[in-house]
Amino acid sequence: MTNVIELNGLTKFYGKVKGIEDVSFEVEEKEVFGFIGPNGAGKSTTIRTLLSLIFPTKGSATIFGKDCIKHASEIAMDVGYLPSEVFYYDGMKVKDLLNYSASFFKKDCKQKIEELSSLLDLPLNRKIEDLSFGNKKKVGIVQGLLHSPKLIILDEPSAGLDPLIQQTFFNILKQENERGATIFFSSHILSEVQRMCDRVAILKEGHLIALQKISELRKDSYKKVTVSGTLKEELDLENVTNRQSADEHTTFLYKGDVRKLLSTLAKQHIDDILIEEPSLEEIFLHYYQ
Amino acid sequence: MNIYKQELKQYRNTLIGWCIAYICILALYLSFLPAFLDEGGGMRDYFASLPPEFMAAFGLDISLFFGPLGFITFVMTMFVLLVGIQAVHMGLSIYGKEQRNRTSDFLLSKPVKRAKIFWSKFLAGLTALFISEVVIYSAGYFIIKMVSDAAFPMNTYLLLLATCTFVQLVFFALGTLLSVLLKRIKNIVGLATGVGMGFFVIRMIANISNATTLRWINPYQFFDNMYVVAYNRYESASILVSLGVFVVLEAVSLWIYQHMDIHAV
Repeated sequence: MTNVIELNGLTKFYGKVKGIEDVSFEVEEKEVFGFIGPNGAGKSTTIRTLLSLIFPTKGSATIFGKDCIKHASEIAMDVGYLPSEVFYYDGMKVKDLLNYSASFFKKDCKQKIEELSSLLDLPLNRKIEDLSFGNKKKVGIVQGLLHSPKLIILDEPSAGLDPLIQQTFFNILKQENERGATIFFSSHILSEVQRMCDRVAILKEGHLIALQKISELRKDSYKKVTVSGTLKEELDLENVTNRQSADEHTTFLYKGDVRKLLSTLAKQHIDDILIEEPSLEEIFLHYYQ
Repeated sequence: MNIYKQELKQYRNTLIGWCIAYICILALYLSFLPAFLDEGGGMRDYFASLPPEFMAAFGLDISLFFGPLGFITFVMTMFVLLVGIQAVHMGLSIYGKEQRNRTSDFLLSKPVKRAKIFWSKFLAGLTALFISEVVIYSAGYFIIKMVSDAAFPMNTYLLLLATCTFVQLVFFALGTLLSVLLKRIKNIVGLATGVGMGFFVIRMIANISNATTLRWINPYQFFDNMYVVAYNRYESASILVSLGVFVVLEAVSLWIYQHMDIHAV
């Protein structure tokens, strides 16, 4: 497999403040690659360096085998980018913005604009300043994909999209991937990444702390369990950590078969139960301490 | 070309506003020309009775002041403040507008080199200033013809008004440099007015105190309009300094723009 993205010891400091340090990994062609970490971990710094919006302090990165700083404009011809927050020119209509965006690429993007706008139910004749946050985000999706890029870079893409549109958006991404596009998917929502990606890189405080296949991550995945009621001190369960009790509420992290968890808890005097995904911070604490 | 067109579209309303303001202000000032010429003797006595510092503050020479060109020179001493502010505003817009509206990510993630973005915006700014200049030259000429039948040499008139062009070039370059140097410009109009006014006040102080050394650090003073009226030409130093400052500031701005980090919004 050819590598579409290669990072070699990529480092970025903002003055004395660390953005990322010595980050190295590769993303293969046609892969859906997850890039996760809590806010401030350095995800956006990495992406902005890949896009040549900021310059690395040390190290290098290549996209399609070309240095991402020296050949930024060439590379951008085949890259679609959706930032976490989208800002466009007020006073412009959606269709004008999309046509302006398309004018940078040497191809006819009309059909793709129509197709994507219709799928996302995007009002093309409205002025951008009159759009809701969600609709602005849809404009971002269309302008990022209208030239059928070979590499799609997404930075927290689902923020601001309602669940139905999120579903449509993920379907569009799947189609783009089937067409041959490589997807670099940055997020702090683990479930989103688990659902979409083949492999995942985990970033913490500017350092790459893990590079795993999603299947491995799933196998290792923890659940955060909150129980109301009375629990025995010693539960007949393995892999229970971080147990904390206050009043009638107990929380703990559990790794293992959910059916075994439920059958064990069913024997206890419990009033309510909440099983949820732990936050990334909680995962980091237990995986990588 | 697409960025150039888009920039011009963005400037359209502001440019129309500036042109209307220029025409109105020229009409207001130049409407006093007939009275000024008719009552030349009285005016001469009146201005002669003022403290010498008043005329000096505007860089005016009383011996050359009376006549249509002298009056235009007087009008231009204040009018140049406006063209200065417009040029700084246009220069600040080169990058400041993208930065303020947070649209840099959109533009810089497209397949286009930073230098091309810079030059497209630069040319759009110059085009807008050129359109303003044409409006100023034409409006000034037609208003003078409408309000007075006084004859004046056309080439001196054009030379006088063309000093506005040089002032605009220098202030445009200064605005461009500020736009890439300042991290966040919240109020582009406020900053442009501040810069334009600041240099204007410095010019008045320098003229009153006869501080000739300050002349070459203030774009408003690079050209001596009274010299133009008297000799019907420019001092070569005025042209060299104006164009030199323009080229150096734009080159430095381009270098910074090509090497600067575009920070997340």
